[in-house]
This record gives sequence, structure tokens and C-alpha cells, in this order.
Amino acid sequence: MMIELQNLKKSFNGSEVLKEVNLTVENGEILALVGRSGFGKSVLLKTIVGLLRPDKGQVLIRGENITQLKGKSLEKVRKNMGFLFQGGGLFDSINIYDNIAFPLREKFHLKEPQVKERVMNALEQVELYGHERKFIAEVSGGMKKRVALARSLVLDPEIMLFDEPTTGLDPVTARNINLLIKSLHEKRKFTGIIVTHEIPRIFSIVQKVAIIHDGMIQYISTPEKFLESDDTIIKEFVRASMDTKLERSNHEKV
Amino acid sequence: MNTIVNFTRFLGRRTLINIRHLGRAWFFLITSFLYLFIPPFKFSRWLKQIRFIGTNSTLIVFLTSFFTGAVLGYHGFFTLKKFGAEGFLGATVSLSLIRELGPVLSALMITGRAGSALASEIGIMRISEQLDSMEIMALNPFRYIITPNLFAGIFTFPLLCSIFDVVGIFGGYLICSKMLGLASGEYFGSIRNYVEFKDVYIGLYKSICFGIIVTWICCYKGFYTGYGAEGVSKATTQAVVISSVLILIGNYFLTSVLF
Repeated sequence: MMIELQNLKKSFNGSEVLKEVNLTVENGEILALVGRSGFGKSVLLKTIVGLLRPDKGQVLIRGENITQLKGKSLEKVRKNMGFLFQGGGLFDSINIYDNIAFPLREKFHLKEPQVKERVMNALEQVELYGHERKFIAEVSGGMKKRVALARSLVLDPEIMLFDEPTTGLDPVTARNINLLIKSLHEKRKFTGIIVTHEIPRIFSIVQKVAIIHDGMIQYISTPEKFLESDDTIIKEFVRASMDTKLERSNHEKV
Repeated sequence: MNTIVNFTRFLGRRTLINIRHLGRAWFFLITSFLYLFIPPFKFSRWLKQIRFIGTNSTLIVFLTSFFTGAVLGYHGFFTLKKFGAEGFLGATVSLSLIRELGPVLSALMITGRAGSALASEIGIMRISEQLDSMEIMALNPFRYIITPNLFAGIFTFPLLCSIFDVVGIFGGYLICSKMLGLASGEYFGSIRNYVEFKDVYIGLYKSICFGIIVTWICCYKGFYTGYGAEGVSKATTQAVVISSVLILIGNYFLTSVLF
């Protein structure tokens, strides 16, 4: 197992966000984590990557408990992880090229020709070739997500965590980002968790779906079984997603 | 009875929160200091911050110091004239500037210009997840963001204070000598007679302390900012207010200890 969460608990100011989360993601598998807003999906991702420390429970990466790791040992684990933030988390004081080159120069101390080769390769994969000199403030939301994706993937991580990679994007750009994640996964075979509301669109690129509700993983299955589930929470969630999609398409027709 | 219990509870809770904040702030300062000595050093970032905090504050320090020196000279001239002691004017102006006004006013001006910018910049980096993304990339934000500012503070505050002193003394000289008719020799002679090297280096010691205080508080407040635009605005205001108050309080204690 690449990622394993055991009895994770996390509270903020007395409010329990994660009550008891148990989850496993197999090697090379992508899991979609769905659930209502404010129910702890992003908190869970940040706990996995060590940005937040759980109050109780364990995060196991390849069998190693990283919950209590600090400093160099945590950095070592993070070297194999990529994270796509909701807002991109890009450095707005430098251009697209330098954003992607930053970890290669600073962490891996690569020589400039190697950096250039890898950055250009990453830009080509996310279809941003030719935009490398633009600053972050000059590009659209979709481009920002793609830059962030390129920056995460340039390090070739074993584990990729995506925090709502398509939120706030138009349907075409959202589909392109999803396809991009799919093709990158096929090439690189990373293990991933995608926090998303894109139901059922995301199901074409994931192998498993988990729903988080009331601070716990309520259900975990394949996408097909998820859609057929009789669970009321899932049914309500799927129906609401479909309605939103229908409303959006009607609105677009009008 | 209930009110007393609630009040005691509230007081206890506030005290614990403040102790926790204080501990975190000290830890923040110690960590920032440690990265001054732990390689690899990010010299380009250090230089960038020296330019941001130091070079870009020169004009405002220049202006403030000139007019501070001028007003000191103006008031000092008429006051000392009453006692026939205009001959001490150079010493009065320069000692006031070198010992107190130079370090304090330059630090306050830099806090207003660069300290607020530091707090808001780091705050925005926090809320836009730039600091988090740095951590995910296994890069330490202290090495890249915080320590360069601390170094720049330690390096530039005494330099700007020196500029403040020199320009202020010159401002006083222009008013006293060119406008009010005091002989140049009298002005500079009294400086030579009464200002000691100790006065200068104590002023510079103070500046170094203020440099640490301002960069520490402003970076800390930005680093642990609240949520959204309101959080950043609150953090920036707090950074400037706390830094300014600590400069004035610190100045009293440093004066008591060093002189």
C-alpha cells in the first residue's frame, strides 16, 4: 500500500473536522475523494502531506509512519510527493519558467541546461510551451492550474495529491485538465488522491471513489459501484451533482 | 459567583493563549537565527532583501533625518541662546541624533515603509498557499523568506541609522549656520569636543537590536497571519504597531543598560 490512513482525527478550535478517517490507496492507483464543502477533504490532504499534524492516528506512506516526522526526515518523504493546491500555490513574484524551475534548482541543484530541458518538457506536456516568460498575474485560472500541475510533476513524484484541480474552471478547461491528469498518470504511474466535485466526469480517470461525510470515510468503492450504491448520502450527493450539471447545461443552452 | 468563575476562566484562557504565542514567537526568532549559520546560504535572497529593506528606504530616511536635524538646530539655537550657550549647539544636535533620535526614528520609518510591506507580503504568501507549496517541495521557508529578512535588518538598520545621523547633523548645521548665523567652526567644534566614539557605537548597537525586532515581528505576524484579506490587514497593522511600541520600549531599556 502506498498511502494508508489509520484512525485520523483532527480538530480546529474544538470543532472536530476529521473524526476517524481510515483509508488506503494502492500503488499506482488514483482515488477520488468527494464530499460536501467544509467536510474536511482539504484538511485530509494537508494532513497526508504533513502540513497539518493529526491530533490522533497515523499516516503511513509505503508503510512508514510519517505523522511524527520533522525536519530532514519529513523533507525526504516529501521529495516523493507532489501537491496541486486549490489556488495553485504559485510564486507570483517570478515567471512561469522560474516557478517550474524553482524546485529543480533549489532542491535538486540541477545544472541550468538540465533545468531548461525538464521545464520545457513539462511545459509541453501541459500545453504551455511559449508562455514561459509570462508572470502568474498575467495568466488565466486554467493556465495557473496547468503551471501548478507542471511544477508538481516536474519532480516526477511517486504520490500526487490534487486539491480540487478543476474548481472555478470552465467545462472545457476542466475536461482538459482531467485528461491531462489521466495521460500523465498513464505515463508516470503515480499514486494519487483527487479531491473533487466533478461527478461523474472524474470517474473516467480514477480507480476508486471515497466519500467523506461527518468526519469519516462513509463509503469507498469503484466508480461503477459508487454510482449504483443505495446509500442515501451517496445518492443525494450524486443526484445533486447531476442536477448541477443539468442546470449548467440548460443555462448554457439558454 | 458564576461571573467570577467565568472571568477567572477567561483570564486563564487568555494567559495561556498569550504564553503560547510568546513561545512560538521566540521559537520563530531562534529558528530564523539558526538559518543564518546553516548552509546552503541563499545570498541572492539576502541581497534582494538588503535592497528592499535598506536601499529602498534611503530616501525616506534621508528626508526624515534632514528635517529632524533642522528642527533640532532651530529649537536648540533659540533655547541655548538664552543662556549664551550657542557654542554647544553642535553637540546638542549630534548627541540627540546619534544617541536617541537616529536609531529610533530611522527604525520607525523603516517599520512604516518596509516592515508593513514585509508582513503583508509574507501574509499573502501564506494565504495564497505559496509558503505551503514551498514546504511541500521540501524547501524551508525560513531559509528562503525569513532569514534573508532578518539578515537584511541586522545589516541595513545600522547603515540607515548612520545616514540618519550624518544627514541630521548636516540639516542642523544648515539651519544654524546658514540661516541663524552660527559660525561653522563653533558647530563642528562642539561636536568634536563632546561626541565620543562610544556614543556612535551605542547608537549602532541600538539599531542592530531594532533591526532584529522589526524583521522578527513583521515576519512573524505575516507568517502566522489570519485568513483572507482581513487576516493579512490585521497582521500588517499588528506588525507595525507592535514593532513601533517595542522599538520605544526597547530604546529605554537599551539606553539604561548601555549608557
